[in-house]
Amino acid sequence: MHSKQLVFDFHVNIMTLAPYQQNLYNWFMRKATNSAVRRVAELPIAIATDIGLVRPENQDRSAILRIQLTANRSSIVVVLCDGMGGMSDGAECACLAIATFLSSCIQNVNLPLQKRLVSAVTNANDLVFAKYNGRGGATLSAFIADSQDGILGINVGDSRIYSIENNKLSQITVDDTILGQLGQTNENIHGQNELLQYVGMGQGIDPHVIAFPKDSPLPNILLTSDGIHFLDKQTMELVIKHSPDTAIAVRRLIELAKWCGGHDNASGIIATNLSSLLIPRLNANLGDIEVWDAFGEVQLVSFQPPCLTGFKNERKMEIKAPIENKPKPTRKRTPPNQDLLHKKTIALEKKNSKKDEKNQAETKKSIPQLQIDFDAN
Amino acid sequence: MTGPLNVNEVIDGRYQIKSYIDKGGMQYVYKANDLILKRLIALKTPQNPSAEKRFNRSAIVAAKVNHPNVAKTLDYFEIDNRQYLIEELIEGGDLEKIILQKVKYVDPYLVAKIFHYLAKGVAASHHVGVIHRDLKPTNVMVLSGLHVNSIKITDFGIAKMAEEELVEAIEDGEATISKSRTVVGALPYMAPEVISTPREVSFPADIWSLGAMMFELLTGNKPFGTGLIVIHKIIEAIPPEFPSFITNKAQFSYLSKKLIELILSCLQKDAATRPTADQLVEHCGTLCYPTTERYVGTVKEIRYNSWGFISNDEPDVFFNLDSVYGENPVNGSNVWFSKFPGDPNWRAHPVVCLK
Ligand SMILES: Nc1ncnc2c1ncn2[C@@H]1O[C@H](COP(=O)(O)OP(=O)(O)OP(=O)(O)O)[C@@H](O)[C@H]1O
Ligand SMILES: [Mg+2]
Repeated sequence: MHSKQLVFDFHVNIMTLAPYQQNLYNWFMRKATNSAVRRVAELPIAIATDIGLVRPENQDRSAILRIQLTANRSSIVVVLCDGMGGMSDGAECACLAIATFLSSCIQNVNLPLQKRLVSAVTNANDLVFAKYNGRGGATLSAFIADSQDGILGINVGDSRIYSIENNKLSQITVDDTILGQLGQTNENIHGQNELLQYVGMGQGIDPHVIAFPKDSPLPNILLTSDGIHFLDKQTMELVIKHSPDTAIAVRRLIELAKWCGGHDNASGIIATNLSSLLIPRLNANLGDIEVWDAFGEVQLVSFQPPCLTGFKNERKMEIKAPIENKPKPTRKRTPPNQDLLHKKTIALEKKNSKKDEKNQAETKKSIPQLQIDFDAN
Repeated sequence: MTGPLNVNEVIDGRYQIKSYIDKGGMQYVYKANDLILKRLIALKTPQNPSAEKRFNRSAIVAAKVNHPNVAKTLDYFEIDNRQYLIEELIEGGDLEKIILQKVKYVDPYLVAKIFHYLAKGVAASHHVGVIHRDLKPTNVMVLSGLHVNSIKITDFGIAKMAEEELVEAIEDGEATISKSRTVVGALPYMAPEVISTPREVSFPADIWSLGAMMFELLTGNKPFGTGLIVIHKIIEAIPPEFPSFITNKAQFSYLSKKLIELILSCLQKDAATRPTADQLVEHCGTLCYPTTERYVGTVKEIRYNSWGFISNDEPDVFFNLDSVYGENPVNGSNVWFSKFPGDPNWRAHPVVCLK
């Protein structure tokens, strides 16, 4: 019965996504400072965002998700969404898009990479469209590094993914603008730079699946919103080349964007040493689901790793309070009954299959005493 | 209410907001009462900085055009850093909302009428040197809903004067502002030169858009489809195919064929070979189309798979399946029709199924 609170006020079947999606949405919607940059735990990833000098709010959202499925399987999702300023509720759309994308990546962690990415974008598109009817939306650039399935990216709109090799940037996405599609360079004539598609447009979306360069070593990767990449490419390359580390590089790119007018929200993520993202960690808690953005982190603990429970089955999860601005969070589980204000434990009722019952029996052992049970249907 | 204004708020001591109408990608539109002239008007105000940049210019350009098939610009002013455009109020809705969302396709009689009106509006605009550049169903207003008493072109937001250089110079980072707007809605109606050589866009681009819209009304399909692939299809400009239902009934085939010819002439890749707006007006003038009112009713019965009755407020209206444009109705289907006196019953023609 509690599930009612988790249902959105529009009529799309999002129940299967609801537990993570709603919580992530709220988390991405939280109040934040105008600017932030951080390194992501022990991952070789730096993420930064800035409101810029002109816009009243930051409508970019970006994040890194890590799921530890088994002792030797993890899946890392890196995603950046740029809410469409001027259209309705740009920030809300970006939050809805990114939260849905990530929760879908969690739920579908067992699908092959391409299907997983495309269905995550499709789910996000459906949900944003259901709520905003095409009048709002977001771009989305993302990739998954999965220790079992490798690396694959996806793109919709004009946020970008670049590979960085020998301090040279190559854009590996194609902008969904007329200029981008025709492979032309900057010409600011009406119609040429406007989006041809975006998450939230509804029918007709055609996300681009992005194969990553397979060179060894794997190249470094940069994700940007257009608040950064309007900068001259060569200049961006020089900034990256002369920065001592990735966090400083993204921060400098953003500062430079601001010195050049700061017309737009600017966000960037740099991931280095991609091969290390594909190596399973030894010290991980099974079922850990962690999400970082430039401002902080949240931990969703799935007591049943998604790979065991599948899409709609029993799952317990715990939302930890965001640990703001701590570079190296301790991933310790809070014992039940403490810190109740910040924690919700949610269990989805089982479906009526024997396997589910078994799963539930197993789960019962590990769940905290205090939990909020609710019916997924 | 949506947007920056509230009901009953009085702008400039003169325009009292009555209700919110809608918004597109660029502006909020309100219904307001002109307290001096005591009439209702449409009040538009930009949604974001990129819309603000063009708002004043677009008002000046729109105000040059004076024609019954173009929404009249009545006033423009700025107060407290906010811009306002006062426009003739069109009660009804746009072509998308009023027609395309309600019926799959439109019979050739009404297409001819809409085509004629639109061509006149576009011609008036071209006569004073104004290229609209953004003709699409949401920028065409329809008077009195499904009756389609008249048509008015609106939203000269990106219109330009023919002689004017296209200088939309890039200011630093400004390209990014354009994200407030998408071309998802406009792309299906864009002429090839708008996509590939935007600096060379002139009057014929509006003619292409007209042709594309009429194709959609008549067939229910966008001439070059939807999605990213459309860009390449439009640039190639391979003439789109018309489904057979358009011409396979004797009652419609003559007019349909004329319309197909006209539409294809608008969708020529070579801008110079498209008809001018004046030529279109002339051609449309030679088409015979009745201007009778439209009604909505429900099919009550169909007999021998050949004729039946439609009930609406008045006595039942007789119809023959030969008068149906497109898909045949079944019992209980909601239909859209014109009717003519007959005995004992009035006769419906044409009849089109509502979605
Ligand atoms: N004069 C008018 N009277 C009544 N309604 C109007 C009028 N002008 C526009 N509208 C309504 O408001 C909607 C948006 O108007 P308008 O086209 O001016 O805005 P826009 O932001 O440029 O939209 P788009 O980007 O979709 O072209 C129209 O689709 C129409 O339904
Ligand atoms: Mg418009």
